[in-house]
Amino acid sequence: MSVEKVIECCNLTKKFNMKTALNNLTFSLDENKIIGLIGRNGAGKTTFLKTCAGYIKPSAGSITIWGEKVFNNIDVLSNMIFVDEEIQYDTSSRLKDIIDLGKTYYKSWDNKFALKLARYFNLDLNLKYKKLSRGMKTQFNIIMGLSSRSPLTLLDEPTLGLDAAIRKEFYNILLKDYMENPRTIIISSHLLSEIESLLEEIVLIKEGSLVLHESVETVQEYGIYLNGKKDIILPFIQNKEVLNVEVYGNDAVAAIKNDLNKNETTYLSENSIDISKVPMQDVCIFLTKSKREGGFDEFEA
Amino acid sequence: MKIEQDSLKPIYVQIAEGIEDDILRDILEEDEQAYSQNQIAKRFGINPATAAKGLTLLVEDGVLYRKRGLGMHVSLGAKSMIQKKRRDRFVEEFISQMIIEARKLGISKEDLKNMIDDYSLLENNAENTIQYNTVYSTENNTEHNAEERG
Repeated sequence: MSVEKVIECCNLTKKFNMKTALNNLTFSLDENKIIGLIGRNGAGKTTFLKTCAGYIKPSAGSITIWGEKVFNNIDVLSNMIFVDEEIQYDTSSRLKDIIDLGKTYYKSWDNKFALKLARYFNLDLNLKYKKLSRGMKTQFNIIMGLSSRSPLTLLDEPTLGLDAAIRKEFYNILLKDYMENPRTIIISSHLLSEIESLLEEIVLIKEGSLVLHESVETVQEYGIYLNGKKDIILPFIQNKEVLNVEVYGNDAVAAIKNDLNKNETTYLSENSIDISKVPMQDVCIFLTKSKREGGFDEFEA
Repeated sequence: MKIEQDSLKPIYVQIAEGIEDDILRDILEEDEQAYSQNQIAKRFGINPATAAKGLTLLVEDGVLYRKRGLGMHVSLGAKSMIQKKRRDRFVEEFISQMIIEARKLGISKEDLKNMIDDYSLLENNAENTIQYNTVYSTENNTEHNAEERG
């Protein structure tokens, strides 16, 4: 069984005046996976998703979806949905009217599911969209995103402004619905730890460039923390790929690439160095660190 | 079966070991149905591909097999297979860790051996209360005698 590619980018670049928002991105994403799009604020996550959704035309390079150019392509667009907080509905429309329009916009729209979700989240469908609070808007956007059942579903920070309980509930519904109706879902989020277990792959970007595109397992096993005596740790990491080091008096915590052999592990435990996994969230932070090395403490304006 | 998000072990390995534990504890029985990919994904809120990786590990090891149309099943002989595999890793995973910790605490080899003996004595007694009472009363008698002598 061959895996279909949904998105293929080749040297994809987007410039806004002088600023490069997407820089020479080349990668492809397989069908029917949940993929996390991760990066710092301003890394280009939203620009990338908008380019996928055909809102933005690339400055150079190309992006194809199911092998077709996406910009101004109605056929491709009816098979995808892009959900973000700026999503604009006719402000005077009632929620039920917006839901009714779903089937005309999205080929795989499931109206029953939309109504069920709205009832579940206690949304009054007679309300006008503009009357909703921020949290309610987010919930309604999520309902649209899930009910479209679009083969390509793009969710940009889908849980912004929701409390922890609803976020968790939403992710459970998303996962369950994905299992029943497999499709490609790309989620961007700054709360990686929260979506980590949902994901199959992650795409990490920094300043518009690709840092890595790997399976979640690979990133989860990417790094280890060494914690213990500075005099043992600092010499030990000399010839290691170091992600981060912090020294507190005689104590040091170093994050390094996870490639220790058995002798090294034994040496470290014999010297009371504690070894633990670097959480995926931290790996992503270390790999996208800015040049302000010392942090705010050592920062001089 | 449980999953620790910040364990050193990847989630799919934890899934595989969790199923093995359930087989060792007779929660899952040989030649009976095991958990499906979707059951695991739903229960732990994890991506079904991660759940599938855990199951695949066990299929490769021969602990589970796919029964046509009936899903994952526990292989005959799975339990002893797992026991053998875990025993092979026992020294590396537990004994060596224990010795390193003992060294840190300055526990001598003799003390460590005594601790294991004492601990296993308690274990046996916990399973067999009659034996526990016997030992307990013997200890009491000894103390009692000592007091008398004193």
